[in-house]
Amino acid sequence: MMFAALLLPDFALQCALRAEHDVLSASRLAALVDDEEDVVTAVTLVALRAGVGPGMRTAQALARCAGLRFVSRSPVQERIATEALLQAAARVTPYYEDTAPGLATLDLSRRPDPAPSVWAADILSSLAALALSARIGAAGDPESALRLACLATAVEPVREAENFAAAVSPLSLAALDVPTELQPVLADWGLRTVGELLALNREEIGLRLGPAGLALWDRAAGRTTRPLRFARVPEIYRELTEFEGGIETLEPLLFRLRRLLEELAARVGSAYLLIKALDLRLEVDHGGVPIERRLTLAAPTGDVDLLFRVAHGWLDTVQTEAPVLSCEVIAQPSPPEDLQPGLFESALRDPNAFAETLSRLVVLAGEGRVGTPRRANTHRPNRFTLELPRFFEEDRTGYRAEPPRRLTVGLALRRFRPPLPVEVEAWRGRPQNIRGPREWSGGVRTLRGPWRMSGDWWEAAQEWAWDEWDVELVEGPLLRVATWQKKWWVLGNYD
Amino acid sequence: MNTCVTPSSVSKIIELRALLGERFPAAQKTHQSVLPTGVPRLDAMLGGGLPRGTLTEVVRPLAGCGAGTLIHVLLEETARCRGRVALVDGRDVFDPDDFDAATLAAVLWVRCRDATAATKATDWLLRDGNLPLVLLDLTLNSSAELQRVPGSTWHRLAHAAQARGVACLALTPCPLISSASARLELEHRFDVDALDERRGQLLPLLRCRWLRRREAVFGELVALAG
Repeated sequence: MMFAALLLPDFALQCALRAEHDVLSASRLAALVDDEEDVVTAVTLVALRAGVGPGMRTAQALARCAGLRFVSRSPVQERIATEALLQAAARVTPYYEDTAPGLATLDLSRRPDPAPSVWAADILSSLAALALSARIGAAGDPESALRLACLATAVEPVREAENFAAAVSPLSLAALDVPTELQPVLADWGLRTVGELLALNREEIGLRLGPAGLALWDRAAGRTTRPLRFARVPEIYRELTEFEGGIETLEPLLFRLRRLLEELAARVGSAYLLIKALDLRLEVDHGGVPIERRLTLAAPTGDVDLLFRVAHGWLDTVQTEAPVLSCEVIAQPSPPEDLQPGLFESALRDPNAFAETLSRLVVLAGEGRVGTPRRANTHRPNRFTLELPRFFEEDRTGYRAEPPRRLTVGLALRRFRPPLPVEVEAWRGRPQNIRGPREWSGGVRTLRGPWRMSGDWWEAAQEWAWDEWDVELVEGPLLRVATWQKKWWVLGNYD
Repeated sequence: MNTCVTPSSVSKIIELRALLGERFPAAQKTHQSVLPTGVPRLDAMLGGGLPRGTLTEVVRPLAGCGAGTLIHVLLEETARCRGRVALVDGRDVFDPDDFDAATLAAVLWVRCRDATAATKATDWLLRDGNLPLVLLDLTLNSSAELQRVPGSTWHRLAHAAQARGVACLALTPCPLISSASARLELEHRFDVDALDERRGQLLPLLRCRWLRRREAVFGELVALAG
């Protein structure tokens, strides 16, 4: 059997510093404070060296170290860090336990290569990318693995059980949860560390301390085990940033949003997934209604630049009546698209870039002026809507509408929008001469028509009716003209 | 059989395409280097169709020479070949009434109000490179509008088309695009009888003549007077 403990030391402090956009490092003078008790509960290494320790009052701690910064627990960040920790554990093995806040225990027995040297570096670096400092201990039982993880340091973050007894010998006996009735006995014997306990013979311990003593010795020697309560990896990829006092401009939000997206992309990517949509939520001050938006991508991606551009494009359009207090981003994961582009087929090369280009074209040409035309269900000419192209969906599903048919007769009509009003000299209702813009003016050489057009007569407000003529001018242009209520228009020219 | 596509696999496919293009230029020419227009005479003149990676200019000197019909045929042919096409409409005159849904589904229509917006939209589509064919219809834009388009714009379009391997066809009312690799002129003017003819019978009349042609000879571009 082989177990590993994946530990985030000083979990609450790490999460609090992460909320403060800080990384737990030796250069930080910070202490976690219990706000109710006004007591320091955890400190960074630098603060510890400066003489500050857990249990001190804040005033006492400040007296020891004037530059000390106090931080409070952040339940949101602790939840996010727990999700990230379990997702990291799931990358190593599907058999893992959510043992305690900041601690996951992994059962490596069914892994073909359980040695931490194979997988630890990858896990540590992925957590470090999320501003989480982790330690790993590996041993034959969960408790020993945890003890080794506690012994690991930032310099040597992975400890294995090659020489377990030597490794744990400096540990205090308190780490073994010594039963209360045995504590005075061991104290009388002068035993203070695990190494001193292990130096005694197991059978002699059993004779003198009974089953409880044997169990304690076995725990110290790493000979006990327990079944793990397996957890399931949370499918939530969420990051949140809070702004003290709120922000009123876009720049600080973008700055932090970029970092959130980087962390999300790293987390999603580490599970071999891509992001198909982003859910953004902005909390505003003064009890304002939160602003929420789902930004769906044309194709799943892990490209942080693209995700940032998409989010930036939406935030540019957002106006709030009060300062923004926090920004939450939830990434919707998706497996890579199940596509097999052929060597010479016409699938979109980069659907997301295409979606961006479409957005820019809409800004340039105007809303409703870019897209794939779809004819309206009417006989009235020039009735259509423009829809965003579904090229990528067609590539993905392999679905295409039925093959196109050649329906057309004659020349194509170039339709003027709006129709061009002209003056027409007519004889018995038939146009003889057209006066309008120079290129569409002149005498009529040949005439076809009238074609009576009408529809929607059953709805008075939408009723339409006019006569159309196909006209060839002496100068050569072929026009379609229409008359309605004694007025004339050029609808377009044939070309 | 389906496989999962990751960014790395996509780049490998692109690399493989480039490698095949280098090793088997003949196969590339057949499958990839030209897009058939659907107009037999034009395809014959262009060596099979519109060449990818180039900007081709078709001049429509007079109304009724069939520029709109050429666009229609191109859209139908592209849809028939299961391709996609962007139509940048310089004066918003395209009429979708003549098409069935399957053809329209293959078209991205950009309805511009002037030539400046149309060239900008074309530039973006060419740089995007996702659609293999971009049509720029400027035939009904005024000469004043067209003169306001800087000459450098056409060079930028040609460069973008070349860089992304996109075929770009620009229809203009007069010779305009100095950077076009080929310039043809529609020379037949249709009369009112053409309105009754089936499209297939009109295509042989959709005649062009060369105004300018550039051909690659030993890696050099040589301009030929038409």
